[in-house]
Amino acid sequence: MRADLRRLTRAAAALTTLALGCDAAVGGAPGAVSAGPVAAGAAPSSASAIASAERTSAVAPLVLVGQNAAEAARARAVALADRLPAGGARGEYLALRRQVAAGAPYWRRMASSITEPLLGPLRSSEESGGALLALDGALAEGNDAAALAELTRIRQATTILAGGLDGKRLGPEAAVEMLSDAAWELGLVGLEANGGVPDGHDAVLADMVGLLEAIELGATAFSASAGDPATERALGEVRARVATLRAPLRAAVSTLDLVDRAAWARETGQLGVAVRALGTARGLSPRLPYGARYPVADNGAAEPVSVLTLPAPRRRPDGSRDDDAALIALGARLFADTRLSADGSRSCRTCHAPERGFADGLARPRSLDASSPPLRHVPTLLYAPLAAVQMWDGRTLTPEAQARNVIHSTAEMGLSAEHLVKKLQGDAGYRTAFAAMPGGVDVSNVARALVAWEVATLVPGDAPLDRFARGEDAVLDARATHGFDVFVGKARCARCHIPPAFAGTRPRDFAVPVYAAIGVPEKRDAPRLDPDRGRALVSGLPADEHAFKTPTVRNGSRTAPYFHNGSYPTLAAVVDFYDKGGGRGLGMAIDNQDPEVRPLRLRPDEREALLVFLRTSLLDRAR
Amino acid sequence: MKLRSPRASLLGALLLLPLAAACGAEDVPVPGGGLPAGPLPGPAEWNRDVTAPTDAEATEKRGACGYTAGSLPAETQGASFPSGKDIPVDHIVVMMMENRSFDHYFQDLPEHGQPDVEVAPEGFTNPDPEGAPVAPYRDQQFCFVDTNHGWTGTHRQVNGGKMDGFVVTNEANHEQPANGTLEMIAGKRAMGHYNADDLPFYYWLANEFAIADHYHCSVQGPTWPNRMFLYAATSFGLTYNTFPDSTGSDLLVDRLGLREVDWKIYGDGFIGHAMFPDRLIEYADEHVTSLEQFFADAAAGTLPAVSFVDPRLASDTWDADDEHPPAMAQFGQRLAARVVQALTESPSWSRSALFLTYDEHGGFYDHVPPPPACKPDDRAPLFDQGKDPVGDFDELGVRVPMMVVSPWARKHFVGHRTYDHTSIVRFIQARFVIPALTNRDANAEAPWEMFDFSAPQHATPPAVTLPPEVDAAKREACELIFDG
Repeated sequence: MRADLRRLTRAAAALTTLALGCDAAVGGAPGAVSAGPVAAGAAPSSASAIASAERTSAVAPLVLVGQNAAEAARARAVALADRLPAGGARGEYLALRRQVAAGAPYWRRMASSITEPLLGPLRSSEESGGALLALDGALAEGNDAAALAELTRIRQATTILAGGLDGKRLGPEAAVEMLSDAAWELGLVGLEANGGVPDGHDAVLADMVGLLEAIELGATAFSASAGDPATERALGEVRARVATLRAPLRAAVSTLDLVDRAAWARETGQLGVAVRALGTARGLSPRLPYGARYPVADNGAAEPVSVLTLPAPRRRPDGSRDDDAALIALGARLFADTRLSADGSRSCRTCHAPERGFADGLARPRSLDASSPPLRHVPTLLYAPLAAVQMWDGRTLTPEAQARNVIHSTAEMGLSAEHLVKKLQGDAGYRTAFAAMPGGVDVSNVARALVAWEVATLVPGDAPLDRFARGEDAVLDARATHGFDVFVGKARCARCHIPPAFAGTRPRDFAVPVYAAIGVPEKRDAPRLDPDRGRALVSGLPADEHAFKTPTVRNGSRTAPYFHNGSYPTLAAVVDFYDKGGGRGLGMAIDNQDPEVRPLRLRPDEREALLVFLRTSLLDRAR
Repeated sequence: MKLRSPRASLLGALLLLPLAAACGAEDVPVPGGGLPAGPLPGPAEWNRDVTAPTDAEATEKRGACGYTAGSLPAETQGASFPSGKDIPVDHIVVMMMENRSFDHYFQDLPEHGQPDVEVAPEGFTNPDPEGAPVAPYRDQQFCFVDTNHGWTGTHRQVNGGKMDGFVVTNEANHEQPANGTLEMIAGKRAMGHYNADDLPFYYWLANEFAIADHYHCSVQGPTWPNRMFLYAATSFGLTYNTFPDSTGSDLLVDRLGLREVDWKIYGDGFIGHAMFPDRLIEYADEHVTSLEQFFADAAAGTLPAVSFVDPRLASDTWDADDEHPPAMAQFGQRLAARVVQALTESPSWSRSALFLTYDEHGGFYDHVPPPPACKPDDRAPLFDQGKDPVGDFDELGVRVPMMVVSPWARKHFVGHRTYDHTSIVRFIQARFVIPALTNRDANAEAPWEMFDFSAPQHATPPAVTLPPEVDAAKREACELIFDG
């Protein structure tokens, strides 16, 4: 056995030849570093060779953490495969998951191409899965043969990962960022909102425990070579935060046993701060997972960014933002101007009325074009600047395109580009305002101004949950706190309504959308599917039939009615629809219904708490 | 918690073994290619007497998928084509880069010295999600967000041969860079192309040697299945990136071993053959070495009979040298130029041939509909969870560039015949008299037209000018977008 392992490990190391480079020897056995080839290309100068040695002295132990995790995961996969035919190996499975989670941040960073078959590609909208998720599905179905096939893949991937990770790009700053990102991801996993979230709540718990281990081992390894008091203090803080986060997990069998997961998720932001302090103690400037829209710290690395933190508006690659006051004022004026419709009967504001949550309160808006099919329910514009895609079917990508699309649509505002320009040019105020922009009065500048105003106005972030996320306490009462736990746990809502947008927009980049077929009926609770094909009209894919973009539930109590056809009048009706198991629960056969939409069996107190959370905790202050 | 468990120490110690070998200990030179005199080593049936069909018979039968796994190249290529030692090439080098379509790279080649290649015609467009046409355009943003090349996405791009889905399938596909904008994930990025200013070495290479303009990747899907066709002439049913169940099947390198043909894989980091970990573990010590060793072996004239030269694959970074977006193509171009230069300056040049190609089209536009293909075997496509079961292995993928660099390559030549990755496999098999692995390579045509074995057209190799290093301004711009 030992000889086998030796051969496997040696060979696997050779598979990723020089993956560690000669640098690995620095961490593996001091003094063993030799003058071998360093990198493809020219021989390094002695100065860069020294810098390279300096670099890896902090990082090589981290490479070993990742490799150790892979070796341990490989052993877990083998153990589970041995147990599988006998069945009932849940404990082994959870141990494997824990171990994979403990290595995943390292593997993603240092061997992304081998990690993809294991965990699926990172944040991609089309591809999904990976062997671990496929294994989860096979186990849920009780399909031992499929489970064995996936376990073989997991063994193969972890064999290679154990043999050598590509630490070449992992400088000390990148190492701290890897751990800081892992702390952020811990919050996402803890709210069951990550991609590839497993079916069972016990498996989610295993992932949380594993990620905590990844962070603690990494922080310890990173600090090992320093030994200065500042680093020691920072490491002590990381350990304290880890202990705080680990304590409730120890007593739990599954995430359903956890209480106050909002507080838990918020604490992951503090863990991130502690991790980044390891870097600042060394004079590094590790980046945040993303910038906060409403910062609470006075310096960057100390910002407690968690999965509950709203992101700063997007910048252009040159660093600029459209946050000019004159441009925003122009957008505000355009938003309320009925000249943007062909017949002068409506402005953007007509259907996106501030007093109705930037929606219109109707099931469906009136169409200006009698020949058009019925329009879909008007979604709120609140938080739309965060959306990965626009429209119920995601047919436009940017908010600018959404604005242009609606202005031009004959059923909605019906104004051609030429007509729009002509009308606006007739107004001296507009001529002056647009003169400041290259291109003058044109459609793209109209859209740009509208979006500048939307970005400035429509992400208020002052709901109780947002204030809680920024450190205020006593803003969520006991029922809302319980309701949040139901939302992310038993009711499985956050699997699609992903924080902090609480919509089908995946952080951290807010660019990957979630579509789901949930089986919305034509009329409330009537067992006949609404005929709207939704996303399939855009994508042409069978999996997208009757699927729609997951809308935000922020400000939900202001934006009734609900769903793409406005068929559900109240939040209580919506919750009951999901509780029954969506369209299938109403008796319809829907092949592609999202598997997360299933009978929930909520107790009355859980239902009530969930509704309190939905009605109050995500409600921005009226303005 | 302890920093290093006993296992960690063990692992660290074990790792030193191969590393020590890699870090300075001189490698034992491997003798060059060529086969011993007398009957070739290997199974007796591989040495069977062959009656070659006429060229016309062979072409017709291949077109009808009439040949099956196990057939020898001499039985399928046609009587006028050479086999075994009659092919004056003892050192075959295969370099497969990542993710670029033919039109995306060579749209401007007709204006840059080679009017004979087929590129997207004037007026070719793809609709955007709102139906507006998007024409190909010269892209000078060199590091952009990866494009859609999944099985489902590619089939929608091809759209039954209309080749009109490149924009819509890339709209909002993939993540946004750290400092990116939503516009960076708009679908129109799939319609970008380069020219000779952007890819000076590749445009020079395409003019100097032979380029194929109907070489398609092997499946309308992503990296791993396509690379498996190069390594094994099948993806073992896979349509997505994962480890195959190849139990009971030979890889091409297994067959080389049976023939006692020496081969090596040169590469750092993840190498393509690592998708067969259980097999390659057996081979690693003897056959896998660093990229740097390729340059040493080329210079010393000790290249093996078959070399796979791998870039650092799929590291998902803007400065990677595999050309996979977001990597700037220019990093990979420079690596390819160094490899070509090393070969042209090698004592082995006169008996060498390098095939440079791409695993798949990456998601970039191309206007040529993929032709029908022979199914490699009876395996039905295996789909990732939740994927729509569309398509099969009976069509090739989208066109990718393929160039032959060899003294025997035709000068300034365009091959118009249809090829896929198994055409390279078939050439290797033809040289070493190895039977087909599957029904796909059994019916593949080796790229004979790109060679002239009667007289070397590059007996004196051209001087290779390395393209310039990627300039600092472009590097900084990409770093800002992707690394923040």
